[in-house]
Amino acid sequence: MENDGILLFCITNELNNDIFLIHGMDGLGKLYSIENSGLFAIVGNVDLAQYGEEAMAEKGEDIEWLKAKAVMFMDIILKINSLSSMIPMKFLTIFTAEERVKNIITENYELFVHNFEKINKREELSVKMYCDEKKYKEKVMGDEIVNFEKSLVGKPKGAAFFLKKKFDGELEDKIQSRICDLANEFAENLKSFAAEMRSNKILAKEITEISTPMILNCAFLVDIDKQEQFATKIDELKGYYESNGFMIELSGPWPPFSFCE
Amino acid sequence: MGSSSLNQSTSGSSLGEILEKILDKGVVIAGDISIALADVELLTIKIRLVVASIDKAKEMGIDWWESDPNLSSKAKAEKELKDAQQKEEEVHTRMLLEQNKLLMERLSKLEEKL
Repeated sequence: MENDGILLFCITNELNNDIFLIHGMDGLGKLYSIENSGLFAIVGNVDLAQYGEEAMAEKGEDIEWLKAKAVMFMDIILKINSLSSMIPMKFLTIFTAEERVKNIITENYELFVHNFEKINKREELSVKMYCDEKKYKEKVMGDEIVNFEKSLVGKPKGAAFFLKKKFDGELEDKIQSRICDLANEFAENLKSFAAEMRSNKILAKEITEISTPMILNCAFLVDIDKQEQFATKIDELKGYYESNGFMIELSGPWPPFSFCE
Repeated sequence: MGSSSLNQSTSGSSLGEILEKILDKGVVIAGDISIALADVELLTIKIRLVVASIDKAKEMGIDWWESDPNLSSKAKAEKELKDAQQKEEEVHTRMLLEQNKLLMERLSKLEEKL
C-alpha cells in the first residue's frame, strides 16, 4: 500500500519459513524478508498514518502508546528468535522502500557478519539483582549493632550521641561496600558460564515497577547448550543472597540485544 | 523461591526489561522515518513527572478525574454499582406495586362478599 512503511525487526543469516506465519505490528499482514548477499532483513508493514514522522512527533511522548507498541514489537522479535539466529534492531527502524533495506545490508554487511560469528548458537540471558538494604542491615549487621549499643551503656549522653553518629556513618559505608562486593562476586561467578558479559544501566523503580532498588543489571551471552548450567549456578548461589535481603531475577533467553553493534 | 527457569514470552517478562532492551539496545541504523524516541532514562523522568504532577494536583485539591467514569476505573466501577442498585430498586418497586394491586383486588372482592 502507498501509505505503508517497512519496519525492520532484525537481520537473520538463515531463513525459517515459519517466520512468514508471524503477524506484523498491529496485525497488519505477515512478516516477510528482503534478501541481499545471503542475509535476510525480516520486515513487516506499518501504517505511516500511525508511524510517520508527524504522527510520531506526538506518539513518541505518549507513554501508554509506547508501552503497548514496545510489548508488541518484543513479542514479534521473540517469536522470530525462537525460529532463527538474529541481530535485533532498535525499536522503530522504519524505511519507505525495499531498495533502502537492501542498501542497509550492503552498507553494514561486514558488521552483520561479524555479529553473526559472535552470537552463533548463543543467546542473551539477563540477570538483575535488587537489595533491600534495611533487611540486609538487620540480618547481617544485627550483632554488630547490638554490640555497639551495649558499649554505649554508662557513657555520658553527649559522648554517646557523637559515638552513635560516627558508628552510623561508618556502618552505612560498610553496608554499601559489602553490597557492592556481593553483587560483583555474583556476576563474576556467572561469568565463567558465558562467552561475554555486559553491565547495563541500573534501572529506576519507575521502570522496574519493583519497590526494592536494583543494584546489578547484567547481560550474559550464553551458549544455548550452557543455559541450563547457567540457571543451575544461579540457584546454587541465590540461597545466601535471598536470605539476606537480596532478590535475583533471571530472564531470557533474549535475542542478543546487548551484544550486537 | 523456586528454581530459576527461563521464560520465552513477553507475558513472563517485565515491561522494564522490554523497554530497556528495545529502547537502549539493538543495532542502531538510521531509517527513512526520523523518530525521536525516548530512552529509558528519559522515560523514567517522564513517568516521574506524570506521577509528581498527579500528586501535586491532589495536594492542591484537584482530583476531578477520580470521579469521572470516563477517566477513572474506580469511578466507573462505582457508577456501574450505583446503576445496578438503582435498577434493582426499580424492579423491587414495580414488584411491590403489582403485589399491592393484586391485594387491593382481593380485598375489594372480599368486601363485596361481606
